[in-house]
Amino acid sequence: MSLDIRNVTKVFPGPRRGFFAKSEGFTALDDVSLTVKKGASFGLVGESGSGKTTLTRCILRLENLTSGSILFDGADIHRLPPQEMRRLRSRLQIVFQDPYASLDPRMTIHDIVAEPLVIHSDSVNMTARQRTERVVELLLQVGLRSEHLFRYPHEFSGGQRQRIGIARALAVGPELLILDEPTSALDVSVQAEVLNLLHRLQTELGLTYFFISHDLGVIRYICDEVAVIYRGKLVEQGQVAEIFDFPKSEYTRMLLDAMPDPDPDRSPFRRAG
Amino acid sequence: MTVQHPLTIPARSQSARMENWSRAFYRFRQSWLSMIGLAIVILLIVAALLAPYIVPYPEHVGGVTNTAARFQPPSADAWFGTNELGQDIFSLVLVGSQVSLFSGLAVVFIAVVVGTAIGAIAGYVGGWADETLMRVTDLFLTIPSLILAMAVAAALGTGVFNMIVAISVTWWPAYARLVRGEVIGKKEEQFVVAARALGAGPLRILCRHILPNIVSPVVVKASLDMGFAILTVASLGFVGIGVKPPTPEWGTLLSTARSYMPDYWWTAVAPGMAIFLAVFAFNLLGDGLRDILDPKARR
Repeated sequence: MSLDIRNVTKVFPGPRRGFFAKSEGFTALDDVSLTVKKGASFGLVGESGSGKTTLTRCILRLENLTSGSILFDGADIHRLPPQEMRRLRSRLQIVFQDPYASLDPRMTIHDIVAEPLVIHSDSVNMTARQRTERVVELLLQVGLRSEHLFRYPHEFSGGQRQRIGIARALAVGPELLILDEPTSALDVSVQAEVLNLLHRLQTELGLTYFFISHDLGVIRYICDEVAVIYRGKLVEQGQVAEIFDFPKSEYTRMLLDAMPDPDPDRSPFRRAG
Repeated sequence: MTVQHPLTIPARSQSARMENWSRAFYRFRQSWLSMIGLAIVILLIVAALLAPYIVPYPEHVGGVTNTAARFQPPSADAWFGTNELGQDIFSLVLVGSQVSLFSGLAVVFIAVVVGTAIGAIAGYVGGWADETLMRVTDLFLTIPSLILAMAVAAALGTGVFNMIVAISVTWWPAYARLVRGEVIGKKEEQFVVAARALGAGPLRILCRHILPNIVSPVVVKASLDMGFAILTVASLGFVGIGVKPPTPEWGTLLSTARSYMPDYWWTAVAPGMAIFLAVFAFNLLGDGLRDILDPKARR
């Protein structure tokens, strides 16, 4: 399994002006190429609006590409017939950034986590009883308890909801997990718990991570390889240690400089005093 | 993390769904106006269902007249007095609630089903389908419901069924627009995107994720509309194109009573009060439902 992104460009068309004339579009992704290797964690860093989320939406085929191709295990995601694409989705799952918005408020945790099993019932083939057992197993795996089974999302904290999101993504046994800023909506202590959980799950289940973040600290903690994206273009990519210690581009250096230092005596806010 | 056996499925004294309901009912009880509305609505529906069995003079409902006892003022024998044919008005109004309430209910039901289906398809599919469906909706929205009902009555004859169809035809567009707007709003929500990423098909997304999340505004609008539907049905009866006598109906009763005002006022008061009570109760109920179903008030 590997994910190959080749020369992907995504242009959002501008609003229509007049009957034939269209205004200039917005280039969200400009000739992006990268490769995520099996079992590795690939990080993608960039500021807000740099195209990170657009790239994940393209990988999941929630957006169409303007040009380029995305290969999953050699199969071009954007050229697969719908039936095969549906089957492929079970191997390719995502955890969303906002755990408050990404869970259906009208469904119980059981129904939310079991949903991928129901959708992919042609390949998973479980009875309702087996599904419930699988859901309990998943909840325990992500550090929730079985008595949470029939509660609604609004009864949980942000960190717990993100665990539910992770359980849902893991339900059908995916190979690649896209993590779209999974911790940025959580407070710092909970971030660490969720990151540790993700780390543990990766070793236990042999997952491949495509990790998106604007937090360099998180990337350094989780990832082996990293790419830096700026205004839809990849500025730099390589091994995490290499990029963090010897950044080549000006933009990466700027990002690294903006990283808060854990030593309060070196805080920029205290330098004056 | 836990000492529990991993595969025990916990039993709760109350399911989460029940708990939500009881919580919603608790909030509903906090407003005594909505409770009154609910009580009157239940009373009216029960009375309408049982009407043929509980009326004091069932024979009057069938058209039996008793001219010796015409225009009796309200008394212990005839609570709301008698009309120009000596029929007991209480019996007539009670049985008349059947036609009024159930045609109101039928109109709203048809409007909700048709409007939701069309609005959901237009909102979810978007583009060309949306444009076509909404233009058709706009077209129907321009038809005044009373005039159409008159035309239908003229073309196909008067009757409950024709009346219900005629009113529904002009009522569903409001629901189609409401549902379309709500569906468009929900379509881009993260949990819907999540379902798409999981591989859910459009039917599943619409029925399992979008529609359950837009039930509240539809239910609120439907309960508020019930009052207006009853009023429309009564109006049609009043102008004489609703239900044919001798079947009693509130609007028809009121229309006949008009000629005997103000000397025999009770002939008009009873059906008038019935209409007022039903419309009032459904509006109170609708307001109460809006309070508990408002998404911001939830949780």
